[in-house]
Amino acid sequence: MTHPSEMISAYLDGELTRAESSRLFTHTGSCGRCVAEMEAMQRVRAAVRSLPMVEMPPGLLGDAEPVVVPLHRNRGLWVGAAAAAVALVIALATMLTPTPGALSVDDLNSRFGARVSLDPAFGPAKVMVPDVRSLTE
Amino acid sequence: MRKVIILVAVFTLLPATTASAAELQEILERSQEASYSAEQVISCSTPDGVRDAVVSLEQAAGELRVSGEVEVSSGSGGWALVREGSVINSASVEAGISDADPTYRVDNGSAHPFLNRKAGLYRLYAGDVLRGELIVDGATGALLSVVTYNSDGNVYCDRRFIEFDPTPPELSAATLTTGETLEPSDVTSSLPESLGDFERLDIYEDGDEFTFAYYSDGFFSFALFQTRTVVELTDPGALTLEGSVYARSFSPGQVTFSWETRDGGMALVGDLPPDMHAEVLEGLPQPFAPGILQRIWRSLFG
Repeated sequence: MTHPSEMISAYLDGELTRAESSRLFTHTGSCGRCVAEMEAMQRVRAAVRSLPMVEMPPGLLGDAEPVVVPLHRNRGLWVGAAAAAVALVIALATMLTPTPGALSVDDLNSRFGARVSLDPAFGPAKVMVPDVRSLTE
Repeated sequence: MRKVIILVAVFTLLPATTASAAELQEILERSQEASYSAEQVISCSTPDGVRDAVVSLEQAAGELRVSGEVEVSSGSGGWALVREGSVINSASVEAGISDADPTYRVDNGSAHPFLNRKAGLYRLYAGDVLRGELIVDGATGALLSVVTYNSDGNVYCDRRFIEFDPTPPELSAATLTTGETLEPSDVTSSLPESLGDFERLDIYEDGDEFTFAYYSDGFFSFALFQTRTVVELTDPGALTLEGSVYARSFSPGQVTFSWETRDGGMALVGDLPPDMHAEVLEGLPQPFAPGILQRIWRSLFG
């Protein structure tokens, strides 16, 4: 079983079935990392719940002046971010997509086979070509 | 006439004395002039399993044709690779190996009938290590069988004719287009002039795409490619040397290595037995794994 982070979260939200809970506890019984993860999640949830609720002052919304914000106000920022994202995608795609090589394995084999055939040292007996009939295929 | 006298002497003196390198050279030159059609079986025992194949050969008037999807046509100082009647690559070849300090000595020219033909068996030794056995047809000089050995005495590759017809075949004219012919280059290259016992015989450049050098030790040989990008092998195995990992793939009669270097890629194709791989690779730029930023930079700007 891989580390079931999503199951831990679901368990804390009370969304697991009895069987799923049983599987989770079987795993955490032997996995210190998952136990620590569960405890950390519980601490964060408890901390969030312990924050005081703040009441909004009465009339706050009523006193506020509506302001019209032009849509193009942050256009430069968004255009820059979009351009950066596109550049990042291109860079990653370029990096992850193998660049087509100038030579294939068949090209290598053909050139070696052709050159060795002219070798005065046993060339005719050792020449090879790619994609010959294999006996074992 | 002198060649014939030498061959007759070799075949009739049984057990024969040691054949000289010059005699062997004459035998090999004669084998290149032989005319025949043949089916050859190649079977190699590699660290990754057995690799075998059947190849059809035709040779006439010094020109050799080997059939496949890509046909090799060679002779008269050059080669052409032909696919569906069109030349896809060709080159001229001038160099030969120096015989100043031959790596191999030849022993035991003895009668050894093969395919119901009179033939002679020759053994090649590097020092005391048997590296090859050749069976040469007495009538034509054709090499009927070549067996190569690992240094531990086990057979690496066995190439033998299973059918042999000494009738000169009629080869169709090769459609050479001189404009595409690569010429041996004399430019200074970072590819070494020698690697162990292997001597660089000639070197070719194809624009900015790759440099290709051919090495031989007098029996085994390989081609070394320096490329802009790494050549991808299909389902490769791996050879690890002092922490450096090389992609390696065996095919019948050949081994191919490919790895990334600081300047691009390198690939080696040859007929070397496995015990020779480390010695050759250790004399070349080591595999290099670029970081993510270097990889992006190289992908974008070469």
